[in-house]
Parts: sequence; C-alpha cells; structure tokens
Amino acid sequence: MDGARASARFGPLLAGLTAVAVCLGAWQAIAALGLVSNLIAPPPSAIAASFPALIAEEGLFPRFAQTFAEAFIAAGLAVVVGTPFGWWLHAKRWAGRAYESWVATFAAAPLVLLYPLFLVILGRNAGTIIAMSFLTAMPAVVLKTKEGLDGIRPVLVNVGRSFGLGESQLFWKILLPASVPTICNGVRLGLIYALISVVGIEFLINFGGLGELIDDLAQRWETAMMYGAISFVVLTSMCFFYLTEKLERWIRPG
Amino acid sequence: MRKLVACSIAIILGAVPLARAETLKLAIPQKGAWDTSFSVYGDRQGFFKEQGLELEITYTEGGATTETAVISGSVDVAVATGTLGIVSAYTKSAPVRIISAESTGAADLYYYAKAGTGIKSIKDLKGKSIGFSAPGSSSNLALLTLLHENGVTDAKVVPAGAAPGTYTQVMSGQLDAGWAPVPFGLQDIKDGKIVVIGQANDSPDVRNETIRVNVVNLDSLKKNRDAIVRFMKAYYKSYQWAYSDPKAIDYLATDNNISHDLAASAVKDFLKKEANDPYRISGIQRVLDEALAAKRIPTAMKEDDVKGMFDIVWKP
Repeated sequence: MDGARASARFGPLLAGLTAVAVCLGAWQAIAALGLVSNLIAPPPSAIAASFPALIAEEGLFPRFAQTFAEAFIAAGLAVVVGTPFGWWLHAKRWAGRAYESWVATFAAAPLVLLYPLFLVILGRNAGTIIAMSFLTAMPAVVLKTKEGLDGIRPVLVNVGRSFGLGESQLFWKILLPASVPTICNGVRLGLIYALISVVGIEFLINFGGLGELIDDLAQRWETAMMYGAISFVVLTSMCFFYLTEKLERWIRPG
Repeated sequence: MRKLVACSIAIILGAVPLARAETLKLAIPQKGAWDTSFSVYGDRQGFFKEQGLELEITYTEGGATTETAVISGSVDVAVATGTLGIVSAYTKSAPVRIISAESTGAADLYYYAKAGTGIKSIKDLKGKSIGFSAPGSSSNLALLTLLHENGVTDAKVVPAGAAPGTYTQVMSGQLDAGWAPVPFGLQDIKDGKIVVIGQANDSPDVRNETIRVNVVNLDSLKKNRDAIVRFMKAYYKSYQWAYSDPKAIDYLATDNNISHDLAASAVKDFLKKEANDPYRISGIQRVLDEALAAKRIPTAMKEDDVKGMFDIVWKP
C-alpha cells in the first residue's frame, strides 16, 4: 500500500525528470557526434559549465531579479485590474455580451510590435516593459475570471440564497471559492504572457534583465552562456508557477 | 530545314547561359542604404548575370541576424556585416571568411540635435543625453570615440534603437541628440529642423577603421570558390558603376522615396567612394581592441592572430 502511495506521489515527478534527462542526454550525444555545430547548439555540459561565469561576470542574479520583478509587477497589475473587470463582465450580462469578444481579440493582438510607440511615449525604461507586459497579460486574467464565474453551477448560488446570504456573502462564500481554480489558471496564463513579454521587450530594446543579457550574449557569440541565461527564464517561470499554486491553496484551502 | 536548324541553334545558345547560371544566396542589412545596395544595383544592371550568377537576396535587420544567416549556411554571402561581430564569431570557430571590405570609416553616420536647442557640436553635449542604435554598433563605438576626442566625459549615452525611433525621441525632447544614417534626416537638415553636430568620420580613428565587411560561409567557399570569385568581380563592377552612373542615384532616390537632389547630395556630401572601396582594409587592430573592450573576444589579440579570417578571393 505504501509502495502504491509512493508510486502515485513520486511517479509523475520521476517520469518528468527522466524525460528531461533523456532529452539532455540525446542533445549531449548529438553535439558530441558533431551532428550540429557547437557554436549554434552547445552541449548541455558546456551550458552547465558556463554558469559560474554567468554569475560572476554577467551579473546573472541582479538581472534575474529585475526580470522577475518586472514580470511580477506587470502580472500583479493585470490581476488587480483584470479580475474586477472579469467580474463586471460576468455580473452585467450586457457588458459581457458587448465586450468579451473585444477582450479576446485584444488578447490575440501582437502587442510586442508596438514597442517603438511605447518607447516614444514612456521612454526606454522599465515603465515601457511593465506597461506593455501588463496589457499582454490582462486579457487572459479577464477572460478566465469571467469563465470561472460563468461556470458556477446555479444550484450552488440557489442554496446560498436559500440560506439567506447577502450579495457580499454570496461572493465570498460561494462565487469566489467555486471560481478560484479557473481564475488561478488565468493568473498563471497572465504570468506566463507577462514573462514572455518582459523578456522579449528587454531583448528588443536592450534594456534591463535577462532579455538584454540574452541579446548581448548572442551578439558576442557566447552561445553556451546564452542558453544558460535562457534556462534562468525557465526558472523564473517555475517560480511563478510555485507562487500561484501557493496563492490558490491560500485562497481555497483543501 | 535551314530555319529549323537556325532555330535549334538559337534555342541551344539561349539555353546555355541559363544552364550555367548559379544561384548565390545573399543576406543584406539596411534595405535601401547606399553601400549595402551595390549588389542590388549590380543585379538590376545585369552585372551578376554576366558572371553567370543569379542572386537570391534576403534582407536582414543587421548585426547577429546577418551573422547567423551566413554562419548557419542559410546564405552563402553576407554583405555589409559588422567587422566586430565577425571577429567575435571567427574567434569562436565560426565557419566564416572575410572576402572584402565593405565600408572603411562610417561615412554615412552623423549625429544631430533639434534646431534651436543651442547644441551645435559634440563639445556641447556635456551633461546632455545622446542616442545611438545598439550597444556594440558602429553608431555606439563612433560616438564614444567622438566624445572622448572632444573631452566630453559626462554625456549620457543611450541605446535608442533605429533611426526613426531615435528621431522621435530627439524631437519630443526625451533625448538631447541622436544618431542617423544618411539619407535619413537630410530633408530635415535642409529644412532647418535639425542640425548636424558631428559625423562619425570626424574622428581619424573611425575614418580609417574597416567597420563593415563582406563575408562568405566557409563551406560555400570550399565547394564553390569560383562562384565567389565571380561574385566579387560583379560586386566590384557594381561599386565602380554606382559612383560613375547617375542612374545609381535614381535607384537610391526611388528605394528611399526621396528626391533625386537629396539622394545626390547624400552621396556627394557623405558617402565618399573611397569609404566603400572593397580592397581598402585598415584599422583591424582597433577593431580587435574594441572587440576586447566589448567582451566580444576573450583575450587581447593582434592582427596576426586573425590573419586566417581573411580570404581575399579576387583582386582587380
């Protein structure tokens, strides 16, 4: 029984790690056999060996902190603005019918292409990166919030009303807990979109954290270090996932 | 019967050049710029066809985009790519060779301020902000040299991106000065909206440094050296033609949507012939020093260390 439990708990983790190890091993072998240029795709061992130089000479941690902070602020703003907006689209049916499709259209727009305009308006600074990333992240939060609230079974609301709950109690006791999983999916998506946008714009405008570092390393043909920096973008994404899981458990324990 | 034979001979003779034409893939940055367009002009004039070459041109954003294209073998030849970037790639064993210079000095680069701000020269930039394109670019390196030579130590140099975006930032007051490559901004200079405060070539060091080169993928060179030789023959002819036939000015004007007069003054006042001489290669030690300062190479190097980077396949 204990073995079955351990298998259920650690099996997926082991399977995931094995897949990553197999991919890295295949990559190492392909590079060692010279099937791809090491200049374009250096082996994982070379990437791992580049980390000390990345940390000591390229200021990896301050850049990681900057990218993390910019993405966090942009996504945080998207949550602060997007969640009430999504609730409003749910609560006012006419608003939902009028604006949902526009928000979805906005979500599909390649906003990153507008960076020259934002540079002119806000200048070459973190404000441009955060503003653009906020706009990129917000639609996912809005749409998922509305979807989560729309998807609540009417019977739950009716039971609440039969117990005489007021509108505020209904929201905090029933609507919010029932819609939290979907809303958190929206927050996760918002964080991912914000992170992609932050790194992309840092890369494009040569300003700030990991994106600028990746561009600089690419220009210098330090490809092993460049992939090392990219792996830190993945690490940032993993940090965000961890944080949103914690947030979800805090809002909806059990 | 005679007609049939004559037709057959004509068809066969006509087919010979087509059968011989080889395709060379080219990467060209800064679409429409004067010196980067010599191959384009030559192609329009038929100089490459004379050499049995068909050009397949891909336009790039410049910098690493052009370098990656030629290193990966996506293109055979990269025109007008930065010497600094190629030095960096070569020292990391990238399969590239320089086959000629493209630009010595940066005759096309100038720095300007909005008219009426009181900034008239590089010396006036003390405590002011000025934009260049991107770190490590020729507009960046030339600007640092000019500031140093003029004793300006406290100017704020800002990576401002491409010329149109820089122009907007200067005109809106976000930057005190900016950079541009001709013919961009020439009309504004004529109209008195902006004033030139310096040219990259004002510095003798910049003027004598080969900042852009034409490079070839090493595999392409090994497999098809003859085609690369013919490419250089046609390229050289195109360069000579561009400075002798007014039709080239028409091409420049049309490609950049500017008047013929403006295009002519750009070439006359800025884009000197000697700057684009494919066989004038100089200032390589300075390139290596800049490469070291910009962390493009790991250790200090001398010209002899990078001799293998050059393979001048043909000389006139």
